Parts: sequence; structure tokens; C-alpha cells
Amino acid sequence: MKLAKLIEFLRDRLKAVKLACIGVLLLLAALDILFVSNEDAHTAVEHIPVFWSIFGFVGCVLIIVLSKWYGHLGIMTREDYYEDGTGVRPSPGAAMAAGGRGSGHSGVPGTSNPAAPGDGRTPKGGHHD
Amino acid sequence: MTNFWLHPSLILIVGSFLLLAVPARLKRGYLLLIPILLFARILTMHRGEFGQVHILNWTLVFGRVDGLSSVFGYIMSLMCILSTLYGSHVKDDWQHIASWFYVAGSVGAIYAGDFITLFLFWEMMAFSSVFLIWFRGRRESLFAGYRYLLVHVAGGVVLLGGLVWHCQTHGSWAFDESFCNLAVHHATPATCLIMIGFLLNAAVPPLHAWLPDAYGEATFNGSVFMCAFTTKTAVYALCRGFAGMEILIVLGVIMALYGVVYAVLENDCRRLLAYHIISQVGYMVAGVGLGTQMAINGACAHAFAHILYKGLLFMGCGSVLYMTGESKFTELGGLWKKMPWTFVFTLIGGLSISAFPLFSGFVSKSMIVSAGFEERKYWVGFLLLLASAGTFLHTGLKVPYFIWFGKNKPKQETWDRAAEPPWNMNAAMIIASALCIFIGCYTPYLYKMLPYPAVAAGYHPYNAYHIFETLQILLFTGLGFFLLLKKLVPDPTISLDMDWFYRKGWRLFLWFACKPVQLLDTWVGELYRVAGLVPLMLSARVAGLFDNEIIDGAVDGLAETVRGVGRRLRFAQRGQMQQNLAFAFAVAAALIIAFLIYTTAFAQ
Repeated sequence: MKLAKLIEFLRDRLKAVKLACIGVLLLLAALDILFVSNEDAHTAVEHIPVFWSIFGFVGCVLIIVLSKWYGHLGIMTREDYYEDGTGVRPSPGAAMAAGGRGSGHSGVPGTSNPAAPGDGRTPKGGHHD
Repeated sequence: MTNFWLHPSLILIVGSFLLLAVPARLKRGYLLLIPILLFARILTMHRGEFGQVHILNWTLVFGRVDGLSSVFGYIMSLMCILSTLYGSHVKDDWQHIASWFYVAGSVGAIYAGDFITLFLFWEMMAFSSVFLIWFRGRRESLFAGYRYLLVHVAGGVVLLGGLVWHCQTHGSWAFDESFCNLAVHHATPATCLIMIGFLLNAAVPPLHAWLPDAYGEATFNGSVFMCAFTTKTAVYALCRGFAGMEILIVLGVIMALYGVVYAVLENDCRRLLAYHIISQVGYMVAGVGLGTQMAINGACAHAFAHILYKGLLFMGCGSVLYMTGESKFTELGGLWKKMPWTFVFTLIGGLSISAFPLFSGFVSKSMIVSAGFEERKYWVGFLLLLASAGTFLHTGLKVPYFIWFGKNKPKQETWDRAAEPPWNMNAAMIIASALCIFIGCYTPYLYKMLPYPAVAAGYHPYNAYHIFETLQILLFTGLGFFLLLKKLVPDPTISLDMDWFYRKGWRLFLWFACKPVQLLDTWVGELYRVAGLVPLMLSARVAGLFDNEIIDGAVDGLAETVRGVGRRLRFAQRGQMQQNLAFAFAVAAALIIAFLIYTTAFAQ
């Protein structure tokens, strides 16, 4: 397990690793400004110094923030959201009630229903031998 | 058949049947032999049209070997070897048979030269791959499998409808060799239906929800097969039929970003990878839409590289699932102590998909982005680069971090089970990793196989500007990841997607059936009672009265008369047959004589 030892070695020196990473980022930006010619650029906007660094960072932040905002609009919901509908066929009355309520993405995280007996929460099966 | 031509799919199909008869001790060797034979057969195939069969008035072409089909056939058969090796310790023969039939369907569709053959193999893929979900054996897998099958059957019906319509109009079933065959600039309803059929298999939103649903629920090795074949066969079909269709550019870019957004929210590592299939296939679909030789090369090269690195990623996460029984980030963490090599292989897959220099994605993805910039569609280039930042964010950082590191502590049972997977799973991951790096370092290997090798030879991804552009995007994305790490900690939730409409939508349908339809039914029933039933009963009563009093009266009267006559005649009976006959004849003779006299008398 030499590989695990190497990882452990790096984890024990997390501060140094972090500093090294920041050093790499700064070096990358510096090399881009000093040595890389912009003649292969596709658009004028790419002539801004370290444009692609800004693009990468801002893009990453936008993706995280906008996706999380979208997820919290009601897209992220409790894990057993679909389970009550996949088992025993509900009576029409129950279905009507669910239909009246479920006209959209109205699931609220954290309000999970108690699991019905035999609702398929069998132990996770990964083995197939 | 004009000449004997061994169809590569036939090797897998016959091999599947023979598998059941192979002794257990030879089985693992046999499991590798058949995919290797398939690969060898594909390597030795010459260009041209083979396997022509004449049925009724049609000519079916089973083997159309050209630049486009060769590159896809090559990578499909190579992936078949790796996937089979990965799962070769699985004792259940039927799992291998289902996988091989699935690959046979994919290879058959790729070499199909006409629409009937294409459709035949297309459906074979859907009906065999569903077993890879069902074999997981969970209750959820059963339902996911049925949903997968229903969606694909619906897509198949749309495709068939389009094909029949198209062929009725054009009088030919030929899936023509030339690109832009389906008249992309003059799209008809028939070609649109065909395209929808292809787009469903390529998992283009809003027809994509089957993919994370199924791939997250399949067996640990079934997903490795599934991630390679269905979507990439659809990309091949789109390349063949719809190169240059502009709408595909928009759809491709939407796909690339859609997958990234859902990957942020996802808690299950295999579902996250599935969303990234949608994202990566988005690049290929956009490439097909751009339609230039460079873009088609890019789509094919990216499909080639994608099959390998996505297979590798599913192998890594499949190993975690296989060894620990868990695939959710919230149930995993800190596995670097137990599964360090699996971490390294998954990281290589992550760096490849993120298009790091020296890894396969770098030499394939950039072709499509460059084609976008060259066509002066700058928004395509920038948005695809944004999606590639998202790809590194999730597949290169989120997946390895939250499985192998992170602050989360898995359950003791999970921790105790965790260990490096069996040798065959490791071997498959080593070969896939090596190929990802080899493709990234030695570009002629891939570029020479592409449909337009001359154009590919003129493309050089390794120039200073491109390398620095990519490194800056990716490394500063890494900075963003670690700064916003708290926001990215996974929640034990699921994300609602388009499958909501058929998983919960049926309740709306039921409500509709119970409420408005039932109300209408009651109202119509009442109307029928008041306007129909009451007059009907009245007329029935009148008819009854008429029947009783008039009809029955007349009939009863007649019967009474007959009875009276009979009663009187009874006494004329003498009891002997001869006398009765003589009496009857006498009466008859008298009547005849009377009749004759009457007629002669009146005739005069």
C-alpha cells in the first residue's frame, strides 16, 4: 500500500500542498502573461490578461450558485419521493388526493414520509456472484 | 446472400448461445475470447457493402463498412473486451448473454446499410440492455427497467413511424452513404420523426430522463456496458443522417450545460456520471449540428475517447458500489486508505473527461470547440468551454473528493467491506487508463481512424495557446471548487427531472380520470336517464298495453275459435284409421267437386 502511504504523506502536509497549488496557479497566470502569444485567440475578449483564468473561476462559481439556486426551487426533494407511487396501487381516493396536491414540483426536502412496510428498502445489492 | 460475409454481431450472438455449454473452468477464458474475436473480425473487415439479403422487394444491407462505421465499430468492440473483462468474475451466464446481445445490437446498427436492418438492431439493443438493469435484483431496478423499456419502445415506435413515412415518400429503405442524406435543409415531418427517435437514444433533453434513471440503477458492470453503447450508437446515426442540421447545435449546447447543472445537485455518483454522459454527448450532438468535416471528426473522436473514459469512470464507481454496496456520496468518504488504486483510475477518467492536456478528452473535445469558433459561432465555443469547467468541477473533483476524501465518515459496515476490487476489475481499469493517456499523448492513433483523416492530420491540439487556455480554465475551476466546497457538500436528496411526468404524471392522469371525466360521465348518465330513459319507458308501457289488449286479444280469440271447432269435430271421429281416411278423402273429393262446379259455373 505504497500509494496509500503517499496520500497520507501529502495529507499530513496539507498546508504545504495548498501553498504549492496556489503557487502553480500564480505561475500559470504569470507564464500566460509573459510568454503565451494571443495570436491564436478567437475573439477580441481573449486579449484581456489571464482571461481564461477569470473565465474558469467565474464559470465555476456561476455553475455552483445557479445550479444550487435552481435545485432549491423545489427540484431537490426527499429520496423516497417516488416510492409511495411505485408499490401497491393506491386507491382512487388516495390517488386523487395525491394528484390534487402534486400538480408540480412541490416536494419539500426533509419532510419524508414514513416508509411503508415492504417498500423495497432491501439491503443494497452490489454483489452478483 | 451474394457472398458469405461474417457479420461481427453473429460472433457475439453465437458466442452467447455457446456460453451456456462451456465448462465452468474454461468460462473466464471463453468470456474474453469472444469479444477478442469480435475485435479481430472488425479489424480485418474491408471497406465496401457486404451481407446483402433480398427479401420481398427489399434489399437489406447488413454490412456497410466505411470511414464512419469503422471508427465506431472499432471502439465498440474494444469496449466490449474491456467491459467483459471487468465483469468476467460474475457467475451468472445470463448477464453476459444480455451484455453481448446488447453489443451485437449496437454493432449491427452501426454496420446497417438500410433502415430496416438499422431498426432491427436498434430495438435489439433496447430489449437486451433492459436485462442489465433488472439483473441488479432490487425492487427499484425492476421499476427502472420497465420505465427504460417503455421509453425506448415509445422512441422505437416514433422512429419506425418516421422510417415508414420517409420510405413511402422516397421509395427506398437505403440509409444512404453520403452525409446530409436525410435532406437536413428541407426537413419533412418524416425526417423529424426519425430524428426524434435518434435524439431519444442520444438522451437529448427533454427526452433524456431515462438515462440517469436506468444507468444509476443497473448492475455494477451493466452500467459500464450501457454508458458506452446506446448514446454513442445514436451519435453515429445522427452523424450519418443529420450532419449539418442546425437545431442540433442548440440542442447540443443545452445538453452540455443541462448535464452540468444536474450533476451539481446529484448525490449518487453513478447518476452524476450519467448526467455527465448527457453533457458530453451534448458536445457530439453540437459537432454533428455544425456539420463541417472538422466537426464530424470531432464528434467521432469525442465519441471514441468518451467511450473509454466514461467506461473507466463507471468502472471506478462500479468498483466502489461492488465492494461497499454504496454509491451515494452521503454514505461514502475517506476511502483512500482502502481503495487507493481505484481512486487513481477514477481520477485518470476524471482528468480525461475534463480534457486535461495529455489525456484523451483534450485531443477530442477541442476539435468540436475549435470547429465552433472556426464557423464563427462564438457562443457555441464559449458555452462548451463553460460546460467543460463544469465537467472538471464534478467528475474531476466532486466524485473523487467526496468518495475518497471529504469529511463524511461511512458506516462501519461499509468501511469494513471496502477494499480494492478483484484483479479482473483492476485489469480492465488499468487498460482503460492506459488507453486514455495513450490517446491523449499520441494523437495519430485516433486521428488516422476518423472519417476525414486528412482534415484531422492538419489539426494540432498541442499549441501553447490551447494548452494554457485549458489549464487556466481547469485549474481556476479547481480553485472555485475548494473555495465553495461547503456549498457542494452533497445532500441526501434526489432531483426531479423530466421522468417526473411519467413517474408522477400518471397520478394527474388518474385524477383527471376520477374527477372531470367521471363528472362528465355522471352528467351524461343523468341526461340519458331524463331525456332517453323516461320517454323510452313511457313508449314501452304504451306498447305493452297495445300488445296485451289488442294483439293478445286477437290471438286469444282466434285460439278460442279453433278450440271450439276442435271440440265439435272431436265427436266426428270414428276411431278407425281406414274410416278416418275414407272420411277425409270423401270430404276432400267433395270439396274438389264443389270447387270445380263453382269455377265452371262462374266461368260461364
